[in-house]
Amino acid sequence: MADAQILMKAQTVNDEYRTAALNRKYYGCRLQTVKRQNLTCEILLAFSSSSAVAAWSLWQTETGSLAWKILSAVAAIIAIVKPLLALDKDIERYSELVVGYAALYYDMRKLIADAKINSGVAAEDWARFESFQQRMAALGVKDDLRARQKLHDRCYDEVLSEIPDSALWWPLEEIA
Amino acid sequence: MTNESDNEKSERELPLIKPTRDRKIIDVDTSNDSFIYVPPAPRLQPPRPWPGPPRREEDEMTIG
Repeated sequence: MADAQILMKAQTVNDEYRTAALNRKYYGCRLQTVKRQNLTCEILLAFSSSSAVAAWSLWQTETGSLAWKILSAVAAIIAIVKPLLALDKDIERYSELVVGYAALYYDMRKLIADAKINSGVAAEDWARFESFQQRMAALGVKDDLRARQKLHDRCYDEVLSEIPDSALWWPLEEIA
Repeated sequence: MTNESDNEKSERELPLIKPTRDRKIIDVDTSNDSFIYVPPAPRLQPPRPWPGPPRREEDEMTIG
């Protein structure tokens, strides 16, 4: 019974470690994507509103004139839609999540390394782990309500290959 | 006219509901009315459960 409990605790620690790694990776990708989207919007808006660019003789040609009209229309739509998309808020939230999960990932990695070295987890280490879980729950409030499935699956597979079973702490020797 | 005044009188004379042993009036604490329970937001769960502990050699021997 006690063995099963230790194994269950080890499974919980390992799962949380892998989840922190997964979320760090997933939100890192999301942050990168949203930052890129925001930058594209900003460049388009700046480009279309620049009088220096508008004065280029390139726009005087037939094709250039059409291109300028399309660019202006796209920029007008972006100017309307961008505040509604709230990309700035997403960037802020994803940044907090990446930093939070990265800190948890390194803390849990240390905890697992300690457990492997000491062949077990001391009471104060469990207390440490509980504080990690609290931090994880606090971050969970800011989590995406629905994940981008393909990205999430890809990150999951990457985490599995980066953190194999051998990199985790399993109290098998202690139990045996 | 008399009917209306009779109605008003009868309404006024309706017996008040008094607390009895079966029907108790509970004092409701309204000091905490601003509190609204918000269930915890669901955390982003991994797409699949993480694999369990690796099999020990003994287990594999038994299965084999």
